[in-house]
This record gives sequence, structure tokens and C-alpha cells, in this order.
Amino acid sequence: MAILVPLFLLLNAVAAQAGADGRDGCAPSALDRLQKDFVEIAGRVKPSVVEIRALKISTKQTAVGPSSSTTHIQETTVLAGVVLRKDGHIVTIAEPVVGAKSIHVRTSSGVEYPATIVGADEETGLAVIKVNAPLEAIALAADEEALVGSLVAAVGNSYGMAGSVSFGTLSGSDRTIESGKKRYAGLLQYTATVNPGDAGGLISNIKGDCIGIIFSSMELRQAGGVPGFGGIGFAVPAGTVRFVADSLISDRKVLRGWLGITMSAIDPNLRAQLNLKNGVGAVVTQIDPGSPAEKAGFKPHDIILEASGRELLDARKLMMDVIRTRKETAMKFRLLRGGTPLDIEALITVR
Amino acid sequence: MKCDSARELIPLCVGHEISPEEEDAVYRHLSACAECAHEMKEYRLIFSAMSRLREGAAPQGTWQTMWSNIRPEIFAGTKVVRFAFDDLLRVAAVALIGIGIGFFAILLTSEPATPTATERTGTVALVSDPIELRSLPVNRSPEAKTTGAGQRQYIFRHATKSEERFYLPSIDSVLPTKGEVKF
Repeated sequence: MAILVPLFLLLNAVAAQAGADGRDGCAPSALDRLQKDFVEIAGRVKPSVVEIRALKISTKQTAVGPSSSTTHIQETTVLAGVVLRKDGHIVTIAEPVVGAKSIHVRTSSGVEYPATIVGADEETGLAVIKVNAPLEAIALAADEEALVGSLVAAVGNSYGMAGSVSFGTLSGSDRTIESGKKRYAGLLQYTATVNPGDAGGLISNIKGDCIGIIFSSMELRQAGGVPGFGGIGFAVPAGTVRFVADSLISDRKVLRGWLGITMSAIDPNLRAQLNLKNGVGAVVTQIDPGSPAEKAGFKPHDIILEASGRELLDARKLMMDVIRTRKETAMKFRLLRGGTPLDIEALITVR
Repeated sequence: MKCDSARELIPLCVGHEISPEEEDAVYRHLSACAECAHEMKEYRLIFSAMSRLREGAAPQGTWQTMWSNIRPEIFAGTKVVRFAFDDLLRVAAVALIGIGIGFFAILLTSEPATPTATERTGTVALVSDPIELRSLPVNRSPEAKTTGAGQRQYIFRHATKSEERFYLPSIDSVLPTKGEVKF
């Protein structure tokens, strides 16, 4: 319902605009075009979304003492995955497939293949699996294309119903959530409806490119305790997916560059006091002990103005550049310490 | 001695199982009674024949020969219906097999009936794509489970009784964005 209202308003707005332009009779065709676009997007992206069934066997001790017995419990987890490469590499959520006794993939055309796990990344909760068959891959969009407010489609495997499609908007970015004992940062937030079984599925933009992988949703408790969807879902952004998947496919593990600092935005009063341009720079708030940043001489309250010779306009982009460094690399920084410019060089290490 | 007493003692007398005094009394009665003397004669013949019996295998076909003679006397006046009943059983068995085959043939070839409103609320086959039929979960109130990693998940039991869980980890909290980045 939360999805239908904004969609209804959007469709009305399109129709009203068409009418205001004096194009009588164009409103239905505008709606038709919008609908055709939605249908076309759904049809284009669905072949790249697969159903994954991962079987795990656990043992349960039913009693203690001479009458004890061990019961083997088979549990199949059903989720979705997105084909990243034509050679059969599929990205999905790690927890169900790591340690699975068997993994089976069913394509949108109904063909089933056994799959093997290529690798998993604990930090993002993603995994890559592979089938020995050519599959239809989807392109990963650049993170810059994930604009808050844009229309998105979610394609998953709701309750085992393959290729379930819903539409919504990208409602937020850079979200940090806690799920279980873990924290996940830098996630996209969307309103397209998702259900159990959709994890690992696709969030696409209206071009039909992947902007994220469905990760989780904020449940809305309904009467009777049945979990429902409250219009708040989270996805791993495409840039992270690309980095993690490329690392897992090439190295079977994810290596991340590490500097060892925490940065935040500059307080407006401080910015005015230091006469800094709007949007430029970030302040160092914390230095990890023993980190490359400490060895390079970074201090708390340093203001980073440039990195690798370029103005620092986006702290998150700098973070991604550092994290995606896959071998020890020297990086130059221009700082402002106590109002005085300072150039230092840090050795980004990999861990 | 009277006839009744004599006839009670005659079988015992033939087998020499009574006292000599009783034997004398029996023989005195027989000398005066022709009917009892005849009874004694019959018993002596039977006793003589039985003393010649020995154990041994009966000739082949003895029972069949005896039964074919005995049966008409036992079932005299009763119509033998055994073979007619067997035929009836055979016909019934063939008819049941035919009905069974027909039932399954109809079941396999007929179009599925439109589910009633009641059926729709339970487990129904749902066409999720053009090539296969899949079943929806049975339980409408899924069992909540917390994994080792602390994530809540919901388990839906399928009509096939296999345990399947549909994966979508829940969220405990969304943390406020401080604009901090750590790397």
C-alpha cells in the first residue's frame, strides 16, 4: 500500500502534465508508455535473477545419558541470486550458502544446475556461487546512478515464487543497519516490496541495470504475528557488489585497503573560521593504534583537503578508493593542521 | 444273569478283562440266550480283526476316494456353490481393477477444478511461471527462529512436509548516520 500511493500520485502527475501541455487524449498514452516501460524492464531483468536452494544438515541431541540419540535435521533455505557474469557466476547472500551441503540454482527458464561456492565476504554478507553453464548476466550500474527518489524494480523469489517483481523508489542511501550480531554500512534503502525468499535478489534502475542486491527488510508486525513489509528495504549497492564479487572471483577472498582513520564532515562554524570552500575537506576524528595513518603522522582534528592530488569533495569516495586498493600503495595527502598546510604520505596496507 | 448285564460284560469278556467267576456267569447266560450268544460272536470277530491291524502308510489316493464317497452323504440335499462363488470373486476383482484404472486415468487427464474460497485460504497450487506448478507455504503464521548469528528468520512448512525457510534476514535497528566514514 505504501508503494501504491506514491505510484498513483506519480501516474496522476504524468497525466496532469500531459493535459497541461494541451495534448488532449495523451494522458492514457503517457500511462501506457510508463506501464510498457515497467513491463519491459521486468522482462529484461528477470532472466538474470535465479532461485537458489541451499541444503544444510544439522544434528540435534534429543536426550542426555544412555537414552540419548542424535537426529539429523535437513533444512533447505530458499533465496535469490543475481547473475553477474555469463560464465555462471552468481552473487547472493552468504549466510544460507556458506557451509551448505548442496546448492542448486534454478534459472528463470526453469533449468536447474548444481552450484559451488566461490567465496564469501563476512563484512558485506555477500557470497559468489558458480554454475557450469552460460547464464544471462546483468550489468552493474555505477554508484552515482543510484539517485535517491528514482524508480526501482525489485525482482526476487518471494516465498519460492520465482521472478516476483515489484516497483518502488530508492528512498535512501548510506544506511547503516544492525542485523543479528553484525553491523552493515553503506546500504541503499528502497520501498519496493520484498518478502522472505527475496534476499539476494535484484534492485534495478529503470534502465534495467543492477543498482543493488536485496539484503534485508524492516519487518512490520501485523496481526497474528505474521511479518509484513513496511516499505523499508535495504540493498548492498552495486559498487560494493562489484568490488566484493571481483575480489572473490579472482582471489576467493576480499582484500581491503586500510588506512586506519575515521573522518566526518567539517562543522560549518569551523569551516567558516578556517575560510574553507563549501563541500571541500573532512576532519579526522580518530586514528586506529598501529595503523598506517598513525605511522604516517595523522593526528585527530587534522583536516584532509586533498588525497592523491585531488580535492576531497566526498569522504565516502575516498573511503571506497582506499578500500578498493588491493596491494600496498603509497597515497599522498594535503592536510590542514592548526591552520597550517601539511603534506604527508601514508602507505595503504591490505588486510 | 439277565441280558442287560450280560451285554455289558460281553466286550470285557472277549478281552479277558473280567474275573473267572463273572466269565462263568456270562457263558451260562449265553448257553441259554441265542441273541446274546450272537452278540458275543460279533465281538469276537471285531476283536480278532483289530488284533490284526498294523501301522503303515495309506495307499495313494485313499483320501480322495473316501472323500468323493463321503461328501455326497455329508452334503446330501445341499447345492455345491464353491465354483460359482470363485467365479463371482474373479469378476469382482476384475471390475475393481478396472474402476481403479479408470479413476486414475480421469484424475490424470482432467483439468484442475477451480478452488473454492475455503481451499484458497489453505494450500493451493499456484502458477508462478509458465512451466511449473509450485505450492504456497501451508502455515500462515510462520515459526520465528533466531540463527546462530542472531538473525530472526521465519520458517514456512510446505505441503510436501519438507522444511523450507525463505530467507530474508530481519533488522534489529537502523543506526543514525553521523556522516562518519571509517577505513
